Amino acid sequence: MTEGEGVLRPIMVCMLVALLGGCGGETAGAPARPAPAPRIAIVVSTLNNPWFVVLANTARAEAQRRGYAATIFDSQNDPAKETAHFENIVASGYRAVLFDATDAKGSVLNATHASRAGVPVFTMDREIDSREAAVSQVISDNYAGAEEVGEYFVRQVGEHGRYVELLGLVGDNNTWNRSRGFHSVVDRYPGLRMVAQQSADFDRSRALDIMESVLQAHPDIQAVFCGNDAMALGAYQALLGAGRAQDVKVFGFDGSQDAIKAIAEAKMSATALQYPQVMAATAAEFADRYLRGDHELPRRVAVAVDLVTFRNALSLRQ
Amino acid sequence: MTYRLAVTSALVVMLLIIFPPFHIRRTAGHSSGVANDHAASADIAQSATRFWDASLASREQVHPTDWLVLIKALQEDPAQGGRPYGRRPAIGGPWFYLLSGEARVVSIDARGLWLDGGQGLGDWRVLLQTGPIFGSALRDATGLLRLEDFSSFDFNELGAQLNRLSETRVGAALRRDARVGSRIEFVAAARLDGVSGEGHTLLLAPIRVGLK
Repeated sequence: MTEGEGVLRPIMVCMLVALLGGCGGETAGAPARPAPAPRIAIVVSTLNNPWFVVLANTARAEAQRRGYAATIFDSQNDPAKETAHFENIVASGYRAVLFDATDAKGSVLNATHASRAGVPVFTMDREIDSREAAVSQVISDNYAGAEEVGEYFVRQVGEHGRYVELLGLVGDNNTWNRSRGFHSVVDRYPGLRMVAQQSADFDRSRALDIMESVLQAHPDIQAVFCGNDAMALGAYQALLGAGRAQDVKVFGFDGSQDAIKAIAEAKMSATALQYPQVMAATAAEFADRYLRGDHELPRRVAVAVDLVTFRNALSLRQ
Repeated sequence: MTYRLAVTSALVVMLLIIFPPFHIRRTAGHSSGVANDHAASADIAQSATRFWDASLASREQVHPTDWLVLIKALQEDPAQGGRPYGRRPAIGGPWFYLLSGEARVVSIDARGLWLDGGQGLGDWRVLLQTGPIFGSALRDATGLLRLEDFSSFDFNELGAQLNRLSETRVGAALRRDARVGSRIEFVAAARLDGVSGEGHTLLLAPIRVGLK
């Protein structure tokens, strides 16, 4: 070993130690590395529908704005995938879950599992059938929206006629609140007769297929009420194919831009505009408040839904 | 032989009981089952009747606003004028009001009685409903009933049942006895008509009425 090497070696060792250890080391006098942001999980029923993409992205943006790292989990409408997500979330140290459920009843177990493990759950849009499993549930006022669609339906179709109803997923409370809200109005008019009621699972192509079959069995219908806009647009496509688009009125739910455009072009009669951004932002706000110690949150809160008809469709078109 | 057959049959029956080849389940897997609905509806109908008798129709429990005060406030500011007098349970939702007053019936149609207050209502129209009543004004105008105390199904059904009570307990007699020109005093739950698009229409769901 040379004399120069003897001097350099300790310096080089120090540099190496500083290089390796200094990358992550917190030394006295050096600025402390910021603690990693607490994490929030966003579990959505599907990202295969633009409406839920808006819901998920808004929840993530609001959580990030409030200082959280947020991750989106897509359940792909599969309760088993949802369960796997929750197991992962609980094991990975997430602080809270913003949750859009696949099934009102089936998803209760997942929410309960997280809650018991100390990960509070805040639902958005889709309600779960439990008062305890979630800290708070932010839901659309589907019944009131469908009631207004029902009132408009009666004014457009009249008090006599035959119509079809396409339902969404049968395990989703939104499906039934929409159906019941609609029927709370139209069933008061005995001259309005529902000739077919089938589930198309909120899916456009299923709605198209079902509507084609229904038209063969019931060619004399005057209207169709659908539990979401995707199904309404599928039904419209079937009517178009059958040459009936001009004389069968189509009513939807959601307020998607495609549906609002169709209403402005007089292809559809009405829809109910939901506000996924408001629901997602409110759920994220509630989670943040809860994690900061505010435990006086409402168990359930509704977000309003607005009727869209030809009268206001143009002003709502983006 | 007969004994062996009996024992075998008994074993088969026992096995079928323990391991049934099929199960009968509700296909929808959902609370929309008819039997469940009827049971729930019966409970909710009772809750609605109790709420009507103990709260809505009680002079001590509810403190309505003079309807002409509300109309004047709405004329000055259609968007925000009603705020001090109403309740809005849903985020971004409509306002609901509890109103009282005296009015003259100016016309009658299938939906109810159109009212005039003797002062200028401007372009506002006021309908005291006697036909089918929709919406949740009766449920939401007092603030005494809250969504968080119910499932959404039950809460919605509660609103529908209160509407039926208004129709049967108040609307039916009103429809029978009221005439154009009748003077009427009333207590009612109110909301703006969001469906017609025909200018400003206030829809009243009657709670108490008296024809003069």
